[in-house]
Amino acid sequence: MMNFPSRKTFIPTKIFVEQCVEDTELTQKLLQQFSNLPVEIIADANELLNKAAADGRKPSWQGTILLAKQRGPFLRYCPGTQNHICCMYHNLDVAAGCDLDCSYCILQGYLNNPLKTFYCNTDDMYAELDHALLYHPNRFYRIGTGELSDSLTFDHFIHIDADLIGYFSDKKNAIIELKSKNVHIENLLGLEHNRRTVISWSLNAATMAGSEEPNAPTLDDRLAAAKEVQRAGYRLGFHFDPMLDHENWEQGYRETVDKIFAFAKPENIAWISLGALRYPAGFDQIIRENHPDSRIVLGELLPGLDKKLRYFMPIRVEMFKKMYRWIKSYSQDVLVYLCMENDEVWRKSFGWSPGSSAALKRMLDERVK
Amino acid sequence: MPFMKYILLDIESIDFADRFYRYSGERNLSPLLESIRKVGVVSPLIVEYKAKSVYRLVTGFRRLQCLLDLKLQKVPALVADNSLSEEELLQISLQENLSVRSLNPIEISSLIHLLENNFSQTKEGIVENYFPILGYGRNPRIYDLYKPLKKMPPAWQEAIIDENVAVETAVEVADAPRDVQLAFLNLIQSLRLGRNRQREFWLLIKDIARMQNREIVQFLNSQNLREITKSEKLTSAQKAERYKTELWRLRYPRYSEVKEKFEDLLRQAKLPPDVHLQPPSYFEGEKFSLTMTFRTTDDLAEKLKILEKNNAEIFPKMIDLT
Repeated sequence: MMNFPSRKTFIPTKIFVEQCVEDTELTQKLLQQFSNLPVEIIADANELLNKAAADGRKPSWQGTILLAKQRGPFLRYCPGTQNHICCMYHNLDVAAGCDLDCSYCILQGYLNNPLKTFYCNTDDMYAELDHALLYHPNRFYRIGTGELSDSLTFDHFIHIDADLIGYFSDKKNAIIELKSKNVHIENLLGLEHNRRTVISWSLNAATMAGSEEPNAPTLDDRLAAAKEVQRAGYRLGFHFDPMLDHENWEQGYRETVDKIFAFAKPENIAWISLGALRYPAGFDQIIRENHPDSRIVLGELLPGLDKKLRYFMPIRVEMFKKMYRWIKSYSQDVLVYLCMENDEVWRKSFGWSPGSSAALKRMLDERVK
Repeated sequence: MPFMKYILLDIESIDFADRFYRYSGERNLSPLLESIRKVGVVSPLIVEYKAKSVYRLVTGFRRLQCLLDLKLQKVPALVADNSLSEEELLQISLQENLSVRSLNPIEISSLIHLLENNFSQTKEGIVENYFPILGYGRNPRIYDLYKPLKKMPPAWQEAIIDENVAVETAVEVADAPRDVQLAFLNLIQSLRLGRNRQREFWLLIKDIARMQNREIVQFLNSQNLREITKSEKLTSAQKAERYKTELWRLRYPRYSEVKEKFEDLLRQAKLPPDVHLQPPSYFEGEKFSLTMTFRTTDDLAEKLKILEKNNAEIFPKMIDLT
């Protein structure tokens, strides 16, 4: 085990198993691994999910995992947001729920229950991936597992990342991105990945990582983990999303950029994304209830073109512009892009814009083809 | 009525202090008092026998208060059979009340507390069994909305019953310290804030106080805000508008600065009154909107000339604001 002092290690305390996935390989593996834990077989996960949702954030649910069947598609287009340039990413929903409990996390509104759900019908998942990748050989897919969960935070026991890395290692028209704030990288270091995996970390200014991501590993540990996976030959990604407007933000973000380039070689960086805090109207109430000490809701957030609340545009532009300059001062070759921003903000921040979602997709695809 | 015995009861045999079944309010009793003075008590009280010739009132608290005020000695009453459970009696009381009027929000709040404290009902039980009787379906949000109201200071309760403040506002303010609740009610009343604005003001005030690390009362007493509320030159509506602008300036300083600059430029543009220029909503996006009317081609030409002039001088500055 590598030494990351702030490593966050989730330990399950109870397992619910949906009957229809009881016999799958992943379920059996997990049941064997946690043979000492109470296990309850349930006919249908929905009833449990509703019950857990009604209980909200009761601590009794925190260690509970649900092994369930993914009934919808595993692979989904990122929904994007209207009137904004989207990177046309695909999400692969292998799990739903996270143990890191960041104040701004949209999952608080999206998932509405404290369970950590793992979709164990992985044969269906690989069949779906095969179908998409083999039947569309001329389409390029950037696929990530970090949308409804954190890609690494459960990997110390779920061990699905290694399988995914193996699967994608020989794919010509796809890469997998594992996006995380955690540091469970040990299972990944010795694998044949063939550079078809990008391992990415969500980063922030150190003070914000401390106050808004208090249950996640420190910034320094995340970067130390990134250094290790770079050494193992992986491509790296970094996501400053959400950037948070706070006192001394310039110094905070500048320092994080400096820390990245203290070890990361530009040719190993697939991309760096920037996105400012945003959420649907009404979501701030959830943040206020779940994280009463968080001050992020006090930012100058106003309705944007998609009606989501966003920082007043000049604030965003100033943040993006400076970050772009700091990153580019280290390397002109690193691809920096904006997540869910409109054409005007692109132009005002970077001096150029891809102009369309398709053009942005092409640029990102080219980085990892 | 089944399980009830009609008697003429000595008022003094009712235990006035026993409020086991009480959820109704006491305000505005004068019409009832006048009616009882003229025609007596038409609907008998419902009581249950306690012990030693003492009765507990189940329903008729408002009538009893009037009878006491009128110094009457006897009252028609129905004595509940002891086979009826306390919960059945409460439901009879509810039916009797609801057959003549709706409960106000404070009474609903009192009923929720009564059900929890005296009848060991859970939230789920109240939502399932009592809200449909009150006409609220089985909506758990009603529980969250109404329960805190009983704990509000009397002045707030009065304002809620009189519909001068919205229940949604009251519930937001319910957790605040009492001095804050009263200071905010004072603000609502002095600015005559409409029900929609009350919540908006409260949320702004709460956030600004946090941003400035100040107590809300201290913030409300700040000089610039007090000057607005105390102004003798402004109407209530003007005060409310100015107060709102000030709150927005503090809560959204950079947006307000740009908005002020835009308004300043708009004044400089001296557009005719029937030409309206709007910036993008919250200055997000690039689309300005211009609407105008004209009567004749000369009128149109005149307005286009003004717009042309502004397009060279003022409009570019507006576009560059963000």
